[in-house]
Amino acid sequence: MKKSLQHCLSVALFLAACFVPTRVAACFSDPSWSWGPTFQIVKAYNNDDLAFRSTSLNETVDFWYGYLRHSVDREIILTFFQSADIDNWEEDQKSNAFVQKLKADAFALKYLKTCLQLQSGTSESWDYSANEAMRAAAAKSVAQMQTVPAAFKYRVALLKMRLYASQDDHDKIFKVWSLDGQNCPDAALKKRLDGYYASALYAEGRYKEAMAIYTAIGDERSMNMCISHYAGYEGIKQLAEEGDQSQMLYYAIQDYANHYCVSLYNQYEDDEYYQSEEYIEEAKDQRQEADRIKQLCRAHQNDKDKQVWLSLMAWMELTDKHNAEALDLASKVLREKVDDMQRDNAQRIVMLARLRMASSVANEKEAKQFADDFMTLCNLSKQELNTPYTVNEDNYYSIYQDEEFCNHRPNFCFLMSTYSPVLVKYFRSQHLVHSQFCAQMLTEEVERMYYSTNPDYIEMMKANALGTNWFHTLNDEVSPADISSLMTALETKKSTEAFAKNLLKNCECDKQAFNDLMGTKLLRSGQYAEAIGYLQTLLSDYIRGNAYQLYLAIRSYKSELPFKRCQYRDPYFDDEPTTNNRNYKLEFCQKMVDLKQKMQAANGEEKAKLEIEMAGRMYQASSHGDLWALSNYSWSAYKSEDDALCTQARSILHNALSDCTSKQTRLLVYYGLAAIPAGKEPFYALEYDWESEQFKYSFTKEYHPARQAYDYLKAHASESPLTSECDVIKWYAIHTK
Amino acid sequence: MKKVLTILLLGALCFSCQRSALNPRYGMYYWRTTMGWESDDARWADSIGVETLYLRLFDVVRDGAEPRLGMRPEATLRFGDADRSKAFFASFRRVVPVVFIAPDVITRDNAGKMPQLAAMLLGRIDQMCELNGLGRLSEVQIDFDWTKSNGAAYFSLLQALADALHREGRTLSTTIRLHQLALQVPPVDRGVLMCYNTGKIKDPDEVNSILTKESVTPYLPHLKDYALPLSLALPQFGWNVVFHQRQFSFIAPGLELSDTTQFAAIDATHYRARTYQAVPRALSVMSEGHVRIFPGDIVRREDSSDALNLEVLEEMHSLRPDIADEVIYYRN
Repeated sequence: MKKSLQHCLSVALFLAACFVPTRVAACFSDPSWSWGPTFQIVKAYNNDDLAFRSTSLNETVDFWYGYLRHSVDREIILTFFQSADIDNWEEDQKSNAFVQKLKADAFALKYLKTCLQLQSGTSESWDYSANEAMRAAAAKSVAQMQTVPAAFKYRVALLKMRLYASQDDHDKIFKVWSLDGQNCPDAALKKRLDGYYASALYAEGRYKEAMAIYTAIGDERSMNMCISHYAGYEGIKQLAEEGDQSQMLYYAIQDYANHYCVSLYNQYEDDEYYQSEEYIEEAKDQRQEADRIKQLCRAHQNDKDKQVWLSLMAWMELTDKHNAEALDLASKVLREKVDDMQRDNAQRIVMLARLRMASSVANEKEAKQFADDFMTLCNLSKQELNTPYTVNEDNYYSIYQDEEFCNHRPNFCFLMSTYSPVLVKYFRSQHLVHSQFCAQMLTEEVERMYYSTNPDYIEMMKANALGTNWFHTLNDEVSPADISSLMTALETKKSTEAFAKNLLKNCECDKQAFNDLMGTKLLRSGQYAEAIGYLQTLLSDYIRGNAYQLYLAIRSYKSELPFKRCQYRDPYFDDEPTTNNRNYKLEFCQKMVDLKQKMQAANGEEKAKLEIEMAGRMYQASSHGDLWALSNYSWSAYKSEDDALCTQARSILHNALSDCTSKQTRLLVYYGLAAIPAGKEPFYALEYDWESEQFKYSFTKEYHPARQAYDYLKAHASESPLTSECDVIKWYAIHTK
Repeated sequence: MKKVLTILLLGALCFSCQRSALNPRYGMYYWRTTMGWESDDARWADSIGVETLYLRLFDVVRDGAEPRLGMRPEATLRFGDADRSKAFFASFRRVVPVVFIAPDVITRDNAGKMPQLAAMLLGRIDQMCELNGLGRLSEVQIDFDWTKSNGAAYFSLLQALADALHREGRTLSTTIRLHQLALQVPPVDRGVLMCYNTGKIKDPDEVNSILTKESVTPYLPHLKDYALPLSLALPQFGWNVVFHQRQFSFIAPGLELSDTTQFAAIDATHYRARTYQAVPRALSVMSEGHVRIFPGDIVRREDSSDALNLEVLEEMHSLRPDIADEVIYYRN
């Protein structure tokens, strides 16, 4: 009986084990700022035709250059059209090489003159009469162009369309289009004709037809105007009911995904507004709208163009963090016959959904998948960055949220704003330092490619580890032991972390930067002897090229007292070179090792004085001191936590209290304990009092480690200039009990 | 007896003067870029007997590429069919051409160019009017929101214009914003006190940025002694002001606020959007970014009010009667 019971229990346990879920949802959330308009199922414009806006001028110049069989320099023609003005016509006929060449060609001359007349007539100048006269003259001239040489057939069509556009005569534009414009064989010229035709269509409310043309010629702003008539549920529903297979439906869906869903995502932000009653109401409306659209998607998911509906649904589920559903839907899209853009779009959804569903304990299979996904995204991003695109110069900082830019670089924007931050956050939560580093470094490699298109950034981005996020992440978050392990992994290209294992081969090890980092972190934690090993490997060029070197080079290492300001040279007014290649960090560590040894050998008052010197150096090298660049790579007024060097300095000063025998030394020790910041919150603040129009000190009433020191100094305020001439102590002595 | 009758007669006359003082002549601003006279505009103008058309001809904007002044005309009114325009203008007793000058055009630095600007402005105004069947008009108006820093330069422009116009027996007027009542009086023959857009449109807590009594009251002390004949401009329009998460988004024309599938009424003037939609014809001059409405966005409907207009008119009239001689409506 006992045996069969045991047997039953074993079976029961075994069965229970079979049904225990092996995938547990990851316990991290997306960084809330990481959602950009990267849904793309339809092309914004043809990437092989850069800068549509400059096409008109180039097309015109190319025509005339060809017409004249290259007998006039192209530059002369370009210059003519860049500043062409009908007011100069008489003069140009006499002296401009291009116009003179047309002397014997009556029609060409008439055509050119008419173009200039129309240009003048449709511009807004101070001479209104002249403008009107020109427009009338152009109209008359166009009316006279009955017999048109073959070479000018379509150019005259364009001229007519321009004239009729200035008169808001859409019917005539349609006539010209129908007779000639649509048959134009020259692609560049046809684009210009298309533009006028589409404008007339738009003006007549024929948005879908206009949209088709604007899409083909890549006029994005006009496309957005067309889409705006169909944006939202009603528009999408109407297009779907009409059986619309055109770009308009795809764009309306894309518009919805990139505007509405992006705004919907914000409900996960940790902001006061999102807790307000007002927002709760807003969220209800958002939910209803989203549900309506999902219903619409479900109703059309078996249509001929089901992939766009499935893509939208997948995107919406992703927005709602229904990752399994998003993965399932996007996978369905990938099983359909879709173009590259739609495939990439679905792929992005799959990647993010997969990542969000990562196990709470990383496993080999998942890690390999993430590595593959990540590298695929990086490579697609690099391909995108290799294609020319003129980016809005003002937008370098907010580029990943910029709709137009994201439309041209969806993979890159997705990598930068969404996938990579989520991946890094995942690795951080798992304490997978090698993987986190690989993800950051390789992401920044792609980003560097983007910034290399901006001349202002090229120098900054040139192999400067201190300008990278991965460097500062390691500095801020990772222990020296973990950094050391990372360095080994980078050198050997081996790691126990599955993700990193797959990607280390793609990562460079900047040994100088790593040695600097290790040495600095060890210096910061007071491990000077260990730091020396790393710091002495730093080369002169590396030291000189670092941004922090300037801040060390301009400072004097002699301060009047260990806890007072160091003198420094103003880098902007000094004739001497402001930076150098002196290894200040190494010298500091060597000095500190020497001091430590002396301290260990000393006793009493002598030891106390050495301790004071040591504490002073620690303080100066801390983030609060003037030599902050010894232990930090940046300076900020905001200190997030207690500085380790300050903590150590205070500890040493407490020892000095026991060691010192003289009153003056004791006073100096307490002065140090008062001067060196203790804890995150300062003991006092200096504020301006508007009533009395004076600066005043205020001291915290809460317990503070510095209080004992201040009380001692207050009690002995008159015994030394150190205390009697210190504003803070004087104020404390007068205004506190 | 004779004395009593005289007194009674005089009293009756004064009473009738008082009544006719509140019976202003009407004008309207026409502020479009193309001539298009809608039938409801005509009906409205007829119903109140609009006599004077204040016709915006063009704006003046900065343009560094313009070689002479660094500024040029923009958004010139297109008159369209000549006969239709002629018929339209004939329905008014008077037409006054107006030019709007953008805020950044006149500065202390280009004060020296004002005489030349005056000549070019007047030249263009007269050309436009003559070529489009209006002839040489007796009054010209300039609309510019001047401040203390550019006031001197603007006044020199006005002086140059006034001198040229006066030589031909014509007159010059300018728009006066409420806050300018406290500033120096410009060298013109007449001012038009703009009593609309007096509030803070971008403030989500604003009640009505078009016009409220509260927004006008602080300036009234300066009205009585303002040393320039004044007409009064009042609003005759409404619009939808859209806010996204309490931030001003844009002004949206053509919203169907009564459609409960799209909007839910919060109170008499506020609506919450229930659906996502784009607005193709949003006024871009006021929009800051996207022109889309998201579910949860708040729309504040603002309308001018005849009752409030009358209240403002009566209050101002009590301080200076001449302001009620003419009321000019702005309809957008």
